[in-house]
Amino acid sequence: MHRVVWLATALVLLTGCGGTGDDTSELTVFAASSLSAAFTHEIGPAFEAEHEGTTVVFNFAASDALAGQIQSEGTADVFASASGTWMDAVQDDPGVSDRQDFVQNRLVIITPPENPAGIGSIEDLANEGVQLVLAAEGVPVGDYSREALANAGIAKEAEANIVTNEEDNASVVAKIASGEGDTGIVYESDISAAADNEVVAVEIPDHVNVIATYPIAVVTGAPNADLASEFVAFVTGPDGQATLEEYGFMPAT
Amino acid sequence: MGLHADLVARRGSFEVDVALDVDDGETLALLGPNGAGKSTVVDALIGTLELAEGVIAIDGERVDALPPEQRPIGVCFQDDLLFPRLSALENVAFPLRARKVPKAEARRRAGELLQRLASTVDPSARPSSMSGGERQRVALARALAPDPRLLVLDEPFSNVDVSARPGLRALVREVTHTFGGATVLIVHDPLDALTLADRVALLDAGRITQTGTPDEIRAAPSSHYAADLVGVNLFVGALEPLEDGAATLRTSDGEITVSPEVAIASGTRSIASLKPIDVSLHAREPEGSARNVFRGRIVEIADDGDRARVRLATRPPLTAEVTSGSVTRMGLGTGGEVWASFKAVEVSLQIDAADTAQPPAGTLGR
Amino acid sequence: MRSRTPLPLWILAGFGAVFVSLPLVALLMRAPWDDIAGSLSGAGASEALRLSVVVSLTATALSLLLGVPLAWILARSRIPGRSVLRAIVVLPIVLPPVVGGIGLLFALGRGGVVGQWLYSMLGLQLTFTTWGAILATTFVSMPLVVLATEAGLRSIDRRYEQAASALGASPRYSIRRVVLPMLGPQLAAGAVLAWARALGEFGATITFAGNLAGRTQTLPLAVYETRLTDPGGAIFLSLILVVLSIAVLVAMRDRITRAR
Repeated sequence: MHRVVWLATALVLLTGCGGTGDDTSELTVFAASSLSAAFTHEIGPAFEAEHEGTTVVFNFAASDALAGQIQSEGTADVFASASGTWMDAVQDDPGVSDRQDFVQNRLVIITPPENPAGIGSIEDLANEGVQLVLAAEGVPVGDYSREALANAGIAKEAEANIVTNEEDNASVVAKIASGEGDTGIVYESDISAAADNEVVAVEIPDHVNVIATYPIAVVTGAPNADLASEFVAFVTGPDGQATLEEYGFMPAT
Repeated sequence: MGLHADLVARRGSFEVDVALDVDDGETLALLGPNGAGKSTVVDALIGTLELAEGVIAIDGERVDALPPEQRPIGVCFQDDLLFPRLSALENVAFPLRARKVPKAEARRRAGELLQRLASTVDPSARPSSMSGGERQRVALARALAPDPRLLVLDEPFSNVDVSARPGLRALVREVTHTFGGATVLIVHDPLDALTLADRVALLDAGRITQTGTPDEIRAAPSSHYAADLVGVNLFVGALEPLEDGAATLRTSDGEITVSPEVAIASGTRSIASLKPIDVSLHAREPEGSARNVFRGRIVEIADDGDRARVRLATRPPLTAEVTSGSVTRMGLGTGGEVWASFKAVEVSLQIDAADTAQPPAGTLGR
Repeated sequence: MRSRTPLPLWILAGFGAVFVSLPLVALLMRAPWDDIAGSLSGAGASEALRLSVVVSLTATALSLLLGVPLAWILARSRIPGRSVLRAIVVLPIVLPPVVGGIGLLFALGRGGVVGQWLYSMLGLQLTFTTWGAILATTFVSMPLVVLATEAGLRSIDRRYEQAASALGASPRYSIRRVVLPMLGPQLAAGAVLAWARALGEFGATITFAGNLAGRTQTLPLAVYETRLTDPGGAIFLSLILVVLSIAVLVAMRDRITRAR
């Protein structure tokens, strides 16, 4: 019995010491949720095909969450953010290199297929009783949405209609797609044909809309700095850009 | 009218087939070895077990189709089964409150019963703080609380320690004598049956093998078991202490020497029993340490295979059990004279406590 | 007096104790104590606390109301399929809470199997409401009540109920006056466990009821929302949860350890 206990303790301690393992062939990319479909289905596999023996590992979440993780754990090679704010934070600590804007995104209003609240324009989001689903403040698309509502002059009324603050755009889409909530604001990339969901889109006029500029960079101290630079180059190169456009993004100006 | 039961009940593959008739005011003891079916009969009477066939009627009204809570019975259980989270008073009041008797009246009646039957118990005390004897008294009070027409006492002495038993036995005797309805008493110890019951029914393997008054069974036991059970020598009388710690038990038809475990006062009433096997027979006056030596005429020899029961007209009368071989070897025969002896310590003594709670006669039951 | 506890036990227990207390100690050390008031008010602490208390207590009450009868059926009745029923009832303990939340959405959401009838017939919507949070929390807490109560019922000698019956008690009276009082310790333990689970509930709540301050944002949800934008506030919210939990668990310690 004693021997088993000592053996178990030793095993736990050994395996627990998080191995950095074999890092020459694994690239860790932290990317905003909105990039999930494009990166997972196309850009990742394409990069892996071009670089034999490389595996790309993605971590998708809201950009604020990712920034926090990078700062506390620092195991990311590449950071692709949905807003400059969070890239600035990472640039401060631990620092970035090769930073460039690689896509832009616009906001769009979504409703469930039946559009129960009869949303036809952004002003309708101020109507009484409308159940509005937004991402939380601090999440890029959440901040952008509130900015757009302010641009439309209905910040206060819309605020009263918010029924939930979700953690990222994907959660907002999920709620609306399942018919919970009457309407929400997400990125145009979320409703592209490639996004494959059943929500109905309502346009936001340009003068009110918010353009989100996405920066990408190599994180200072990345285990695979060279490979990271190549990834950034791939994403900003013709193949990457074409894929991103396919997924509803706009080129960075 | 009392209890009339003629029932067949089954538990698994075990079947009980009995007929019990008990008049109002009468106490019937149900006696049998473990596994005989006593608890099956109890459960059938209570209603916890459904009858396979037959009837149970109390005072002429059939109850066998009724669930337990609708039968006019009061039950005192083997392990008292006092509800642990209720006080003594609440336990006794329980059957009344269950029948929607208003709280104040229920508590008043319960208080009176507790006072009479268990005056040493604090009414607000929980069962866990009472002794076994006290708990059984409270259980008895609880059984009587709803003015039942049938009282079932299921082995009331088994969880009580020896020193408390005489008091409890006296209490049960008072209760059964003053209770107006029929009483069924389940006991293990034949002594309890013989001293507390008007009639005894012997239960074995689910069937009643003999019913009768204790004397009737003693006179003509119809089975080995019956003979074993009731063939015991019984002495009832008063004790006189002797200088060396022993005592004399004076009965109406003789005296024996006994060995009490505690100091007793002169005149203390007592019941004593002695197994026939502990009585030795001798052709000549025996020497030795036995304090009890008697000489008398043989009244009867009941030969039972390899054992024989020999009844002697000694003072007091004795029944001895010896091997049939001994009977032959010693040349014993009816009418012959023989010496009998037994040791004082082999006599099992039940000392009646002088100050047990005695409820006033006629105020219990109907 | 030589200790009867072998050394390896001390070492492992020591690791365990350190492992469990370290996060708490870290929280205490990193909290910005010099700006408590600001952090707390900014993080919406009072609303989150109020909601946490309301939701956890109501969910516990509901868990008892529905869970005790369920436990009774499982322990006492003879209906077929009891073991399947028990497995289903206990499932929320094993399921990730988010999965429970998704299931609740499909069942009781506005477009849900039952929810759509509630909405179209009665105009009743459960998502995004405090009641939605209560339901999601009850879903994950009730199994704890059922397990504790069923174990308690099985440990009670049935003869007490038979005795009560023989003494004139209807089944209902017997349950009320005999069985439930005897179940006291187990019921209390089950209630405390359910409440503790309810207080910390996150996944099912955020998935089914959403996250809105003052309506559905309990303390765990508030911590989650503020942890990156306002780490100081998040730490204080966490400490409120810790203090609340410790206070109740210490107060109830006898009942938990005494329950058979």
